[in-house]
Amino acid sequence: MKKNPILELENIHVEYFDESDKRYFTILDKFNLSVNSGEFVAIIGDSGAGKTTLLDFIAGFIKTTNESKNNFIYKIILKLEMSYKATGTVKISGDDVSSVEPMDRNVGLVMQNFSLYDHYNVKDNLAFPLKMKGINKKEILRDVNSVAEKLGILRLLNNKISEISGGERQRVAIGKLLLKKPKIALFDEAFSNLDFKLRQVLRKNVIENYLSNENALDTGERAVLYVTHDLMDFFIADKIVIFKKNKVTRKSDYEILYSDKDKKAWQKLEHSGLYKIQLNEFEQLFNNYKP
Amino acid sequence: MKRIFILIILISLLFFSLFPYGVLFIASCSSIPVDKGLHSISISELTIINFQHVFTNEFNILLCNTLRVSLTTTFIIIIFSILLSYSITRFNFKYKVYIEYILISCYLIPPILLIIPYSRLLLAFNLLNSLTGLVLTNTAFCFPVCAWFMIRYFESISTDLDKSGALDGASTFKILWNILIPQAKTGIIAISVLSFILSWNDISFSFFFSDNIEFKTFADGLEQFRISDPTYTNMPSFAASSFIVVTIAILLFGLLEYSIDKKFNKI
Ligand SMILES: Nc1ncnc2c1ncn2[C@@H]1O[C@H](COP(=O)(O)OP(=O)(O)OP(=O)(O)O)[C@@H](O)[C@H]1O
Ligand SMILES: [Mg+2]
Repeated sequence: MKKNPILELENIHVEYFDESDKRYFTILDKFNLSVNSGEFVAIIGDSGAGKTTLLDFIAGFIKTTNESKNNFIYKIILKLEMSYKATGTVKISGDDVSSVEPMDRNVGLVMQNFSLYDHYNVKDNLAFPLKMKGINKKEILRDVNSVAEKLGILRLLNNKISEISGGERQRVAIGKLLLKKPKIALFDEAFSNLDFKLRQVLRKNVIENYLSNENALDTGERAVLYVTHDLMDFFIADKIVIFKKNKVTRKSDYEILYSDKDKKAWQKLEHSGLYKIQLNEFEQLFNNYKP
Repeated sequence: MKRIFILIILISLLFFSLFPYGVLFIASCSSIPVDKGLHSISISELTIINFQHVFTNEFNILLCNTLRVSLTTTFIIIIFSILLSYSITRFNFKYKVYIEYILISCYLIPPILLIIPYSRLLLAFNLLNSLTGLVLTNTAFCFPVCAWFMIRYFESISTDLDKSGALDGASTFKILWNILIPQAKTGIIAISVLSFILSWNDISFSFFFSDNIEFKTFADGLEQFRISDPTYTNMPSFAASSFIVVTIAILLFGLLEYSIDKKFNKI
């Protein structure tokens, strides 16, 4: 696979407005990351360290706010809009998409709380993105069925969202992302509600297939960014981003571990001091995991 | 035992709430003027002839006006409340709390105090004695409270759904139509019923702003009939027309609720 960066994040800086302090606090500062095509990036960090914020930035829900921009209306909007400030560049396949709307970015996101549309049944939920693209009904039905089969939710297609379990909801949300086939797939703790075995199966069937483009028709480039707390995910990660939250300033420092020839990324994790786990314990898990 | 108890309570509640409706029905079926009270009606004298007398020209006009005014009002209120609550809950701007305060304090003003300013405005725009004028005043009166309800509903819908919709490639309008409105369905039913009842039963606006039967709504028109008939000779047909109006209101009500409920369950 060609190794050119598919996603580049440069100098990402995000501040949120704190309602109780009435001032902005920095959450991410000078964050840089470059992801190559076909890579799997695992993101870990304390709760509230800004993992979801980072994914929101990539997906385009947090847009760069440019205070020097010389536009009167824009300045007024900026003054009135108080919830965040952000600067930085997002490049997808070399194109700067910092000011592009989420729907035009070719990015998919499975949110932490799934956000499915509970007035539709499972089938309509899966079909919704395709419908919005204007694909015809027959094709939608075929795609939905094949993805549902892959995720093991075929028999739930006519159920309401309120009638299915948390893990099943998670799989519907993942299914939606797979149907959209975005270049960059972002998962926010997307497998956390599944049991160990199912997680392993899906990790193989979904993520790895997705990256290797095995049964996709288009031969586009792919990358996966994946927020996780599961040790297993680190074994297959090409990069591990670790956020460390400063309890006082609320700003997060970060560290990126790369897998290289002599050391896998997860082996370096031990030295980061974040996950205090013994290396041999790690290796034991890894050996069990090996197919 | 518990079930019997609940049943008894339910039946008595039903009886109390349907009692006026029943009385209305009996009164509208009596063949003699009911100035002596209901007890003077005997079963053998019941007739449906009054219902045939009801559909006079005037009644038809009143019915038609009321339908037009209240349905238009409801429609306008639904559209505007949705748009207002969407912008208030989905965009972040500095003084938005004050808009809500203004809304709710608008509703605290008794409608009778609004009559004078409203009539000046209607006069200025030449809308006295017109259905448009009634629609506007009814809308202005019901809108604040309906919008306030709607904002509360939209607030309870997570903004993650908007995000999800945006990622799925839906435009702002499609997000509103396909995702938010179905989620706020119960709220929409509530405000449509509320504004429908308020404008259907409106007496004061029609009384003050229209002095021609051509432009009056039902509650006011019937009141005029009653005043012009001090001896109650027409009481049965009066009752019959009230009965018909109430029945139509109840049916429309159910239809409104049913259609909104059914509308949004499919893509
Ligand atoms: N819209 C917002 N306005 C103000 N503060 C926010 C906003 N969104 C998030 N925050 C704050 O920013 C910090 C980071 O939030 P974020 O959701 O990115 O954390 P996270 O790393 O995803 O945590 P978790 O693992 O618990 O999901 C939190 O302290 C949160 O309180
Ligand atoms: Mg999060």
